[in-house]
Amino acid sequence: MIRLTSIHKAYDPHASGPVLSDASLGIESGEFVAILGKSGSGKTTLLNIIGGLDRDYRGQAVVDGRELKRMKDRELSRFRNRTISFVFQTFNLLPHLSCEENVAFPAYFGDVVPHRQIGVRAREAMERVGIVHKASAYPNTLSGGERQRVAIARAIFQRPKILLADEPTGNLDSASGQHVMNLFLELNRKDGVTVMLVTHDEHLAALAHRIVRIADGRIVGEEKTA
Amino acid sequence: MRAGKLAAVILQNVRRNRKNFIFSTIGITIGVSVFSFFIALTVGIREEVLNRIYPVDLIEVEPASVSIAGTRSNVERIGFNPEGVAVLEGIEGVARVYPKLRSHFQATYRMGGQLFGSQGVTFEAYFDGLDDGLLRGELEKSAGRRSGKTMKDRLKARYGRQHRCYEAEDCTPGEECVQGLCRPIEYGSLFADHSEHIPCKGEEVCADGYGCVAGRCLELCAGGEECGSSQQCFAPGCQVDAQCGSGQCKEGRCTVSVCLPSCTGGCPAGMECVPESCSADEDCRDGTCVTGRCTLAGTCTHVRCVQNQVEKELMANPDLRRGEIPGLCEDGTPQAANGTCPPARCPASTYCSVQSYFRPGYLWQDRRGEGRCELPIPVVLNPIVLELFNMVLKSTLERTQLGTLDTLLGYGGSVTFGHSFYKDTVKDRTPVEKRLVVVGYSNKALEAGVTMPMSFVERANARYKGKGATRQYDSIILQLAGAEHLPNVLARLEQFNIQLSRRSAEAEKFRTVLLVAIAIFFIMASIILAIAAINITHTFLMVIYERKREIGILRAVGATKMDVRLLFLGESLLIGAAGGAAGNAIALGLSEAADFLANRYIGDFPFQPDTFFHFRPEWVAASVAFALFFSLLGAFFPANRAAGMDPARTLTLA
Ligand SMILES: Nc1ncnc2c1ncn2[C@@H]1O[C@H](COP(=O)(O)OP(=O)(O)O)[C@@H](O)[C@H]1O
Ligand SMILES: [Mg+2]
Repeated sequence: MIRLTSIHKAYDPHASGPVLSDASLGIESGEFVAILGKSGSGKTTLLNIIGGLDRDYRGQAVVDGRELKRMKDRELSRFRNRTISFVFQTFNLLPHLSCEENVAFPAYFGDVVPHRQIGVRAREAMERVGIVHKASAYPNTLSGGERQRVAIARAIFQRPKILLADEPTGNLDSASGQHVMNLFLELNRKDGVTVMLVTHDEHLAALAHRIVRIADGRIVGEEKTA
Repeated sequence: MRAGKLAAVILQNVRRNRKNFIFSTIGITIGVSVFSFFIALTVGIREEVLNRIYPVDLIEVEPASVSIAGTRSNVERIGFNPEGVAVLEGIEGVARVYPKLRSHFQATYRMGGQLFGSQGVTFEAYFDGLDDGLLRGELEKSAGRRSGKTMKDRLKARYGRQHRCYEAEDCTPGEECVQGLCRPIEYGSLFADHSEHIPCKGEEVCADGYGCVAGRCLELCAGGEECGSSQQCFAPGCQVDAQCGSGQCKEGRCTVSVCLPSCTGGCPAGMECVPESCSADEDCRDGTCVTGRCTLAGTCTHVRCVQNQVEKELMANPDLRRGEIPGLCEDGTPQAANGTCPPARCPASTYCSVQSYFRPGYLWQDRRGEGRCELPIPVVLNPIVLELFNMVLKSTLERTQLGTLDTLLGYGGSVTFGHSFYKDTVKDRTPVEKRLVVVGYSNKALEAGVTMPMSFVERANARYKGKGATRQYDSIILQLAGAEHLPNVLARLEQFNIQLSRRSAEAEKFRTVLLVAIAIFFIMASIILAIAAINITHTFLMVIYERKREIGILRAVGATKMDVRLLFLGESLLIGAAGGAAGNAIALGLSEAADFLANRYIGDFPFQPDTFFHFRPEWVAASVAFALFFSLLGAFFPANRAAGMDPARTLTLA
C-alpha cells in the first residue's frame, strides 16, 4: 500500500543535516503502523511526503500503486481527496463552518459522495465518532477531544484507504486520547483502513500492529507488537 | 471543482469576512458610480438636449460664404441644384438628401386666439420649402408610430367601433370621412403641393417655364406628355389676350398651353371638373362633344366661392375648425332649430380663399369676398418650434402648455404673402391671404418658422420676386444612415466648396466637447478603479496571510492549485459585481436627486428634459465589466500567491 525507497529530504541545503535520510519503509494494506520518535525527528515530514503534501524530496514514494512524484497537481489533489486523509495534532478545522460542514468539506473538491448523500454521509461519519449531537455547533465551542473527533469524522467522510494521523492525541488529555485511539483501532479493524499513526507515546504505539522508530531522520528500528 | 461548489465555498468566505468584502467593494463602488453617473449625464445631455436641438444624423450644408477653393487645391465644386444633390446622394453613409428652399419674399402669419388668447397675433413669417415627396414618407411613418403604439391600438383603430359618415362633418374634429367611415386624419399625407392659387397680373412674376395664364402662374407646355402624372396639357379658354400671358386669345382659346390637373381620376378636394368647350368631337381629347362640352376631357378648376360668415370667422380665428362655430352653418346661415344646415359650397377640409387688396392703414378691410375653394397650405413644424411655443405659452401668457406634438396637428393660422412689418421689397403689392394647416413635425423643418412643400415655395418666390428669383437651393440637409457615418461624411464634404450650416457646425462643436467629457470621465473612473484594484491586492494579501493555514487545509482535503486560485479570483469577481451593482445604484440615486434639484431650482427653460441622465444598457454593462476587470486585476497576484503556497509548510506552522 505504501512503499518508500531511500527518501532524502532537506529543507535548507546549508543546514547541519537532512531532515530525512535514506528512509525506506513498506506498509501493507490494512496495517496499523505507529511511527515513534522524538520531537523534530522528521515524523511529520515523512507523513507529508506520503500524503502528497510535500513533493520536494529525493527517492521514491509509491502509495496505492502510484508514484507520487509523477502525479500532476490535479491528480495529486484528487488522490488527497479520495485515497488518503489526514488527522492533525492541531485539528485544523475551519472556524467559520459548523461541525457538519467541516466534516462534509472535502465533498467540495471531489465527487466521491453524490450530492444528495452529502448530509447523510456526514452524519454517518459523525455518528461513527460519537459527535453527531454537535453537528450544528462551531468548532470553537467544542473541547479538544470533541474537535479531534470532528476532524476524524472529516477524515473518514470520503472513505479513504489510508489514514495519516500526526500526533492526534498530542493536545488531548489521556481519556480523550484513549477514546480517539480506540476510534482508529476500530476503523482499522472494521473498515480495513490502513492507519499510520505518528506519536511519541510508547503506550499508544504499543496498540499498533507494528512500531517504526525514527530518530534524526533515519528509521532506526521496526518491531511487531503482540 | 464544479462551478456550483466553487461558488458555495466563495460565498462561505465572503460571508465570514463581510468587513473585508465591503471594504474592498467601496473603492470599486465609488469608481463605478463616478463612471456611470457622468457617462449617463453626458449621454443624457447628448440625447435629451443636444439631439433634440441638433439631431445627430442630420447635417445641413450651405454654399461656402468665402470660397474655400482659393485656399485649397483639388476642390470639387458642387452646385446647389439637382446635380449637386445627386453628388451628395452618392456619398457613402448618406441615406437621403433634402434640398431646401427659403422664402425670398415677405409675409406675415396670423395665429388665432385659441392658442394665443382672445386677440390672436400677427407676426413676420419665415418659411422654407422641402420636397414634399421626400418628407411625406417620414411624416406618415411618424404619424403611424404616434397613433398606433401597440398592436392593440392599431387593431382598435382598424376594427374598433367607427362612426358611419357621408362627409367629414359627420365625424369628430381630427377625423375624416373615408369610404363612409370616420378615421383619424392622416395629416402626414396632406403634405403636398395642392397647386394653391397665387394670382398674377403679369408675366414677370412667374418662374421660368411658367406663364401668367388665367390669372395665375402655370407651367407652360407644348401639348405633349411633359406635364406631371395627374396633369394634362391644355389651352385654356379666354375672353381677352391678358388672360393668356405671352400668348393671345383666339376664338375663345389661348394660343399657349399650360399644365392643369386633368379630370381623369377625379379632382383634388376643392376643385371641380370643368369640361372643355367644343364644337365638334375632334376638339375633345377624350370622349365626344355634347351640347358644346366634351364628355370626358376637362380641367380641374378650383371651385369658385364667396366668402361667407363662416369663412370670415375662420379667417379671423384661424385655429377654429369648420363646423365648430356655434350656431352657424358652413355657409354662414344660422342653423335650423334642429341644428342642421344646408350643404356648404366649399367641401370639407377646404376653405374659400379670397384675394384681398392692400391699402395702407386699411389692412384686411377691403375683401371682395370672392375666391376659390382651396385646401389649406400644409406646413410642417420643427419640434423646436413647439418647445419654444410652449415656453411662451407658459411663462409669458400663463396658459397651459400643449401636451404632445400631436396637439397642434390640424391647427393652422393664416399667412399673408406680400405683406410685411418691415420695408416692403415685393414687386407685386397685392397680398394674398392663405390658410395654413399643421400636418406634421420634422427635425428637418425650419426652426424659426414653418416648412411648406418646396414646389409651392418655388412658385411663391417667383411670384413675389419675379423670374429672377434664384432657382438654387439655399441649403441641403443630409440624412445619415446612422450617427456612426458622421466623420466619414464630414471628411467627404471637405472636398466640396460647401460649409456646414451654423447650426450643424455648432452641433459638431458640442459633440466634440461631450466626447472629450466622456474621455475625461473614463480616465477619472479608470484611476479610481485602479486605486480600488490596488486596495483589493492589499486586502487579499492580508487575507491570504491570515488564512495561510486554511489554504493548507483546503489543499489537504483535495483542492488543486487552480481551485485555490479560482476561489480568490471568484471572490474578487463578486466584489466587482457587487461594486458594479452598488455603483450603478448610487449613480441612479444621484441622478434622481440631481434631476429633482434641477427641476426645483433651475426652473423651466426650453428643451428642458424630464431627465438629464440616460443610463444606456451598453454603458451600464461597460461599467460592470470595468469593475470586474479591475477587481480581477487586483486579485490576480494574491490569487497566484495563494495557489503557489506550500501546503505542508502552512499546515505544520504552529
Ligand atoms: N518548513 C520547515 N523549514 C525548515 N525546517 C523545517 C521545516 N519543517 C520542519 N523542519 C525541521 O525539520 C525537522 C523535522 O521536523 P518534523 O518532521 O516536523 O519533526 P517531528 O514531526 O518529528 O517533530 C526539524 O528539525 C524541523 O526543525
Ligand atoms: Mg511533528
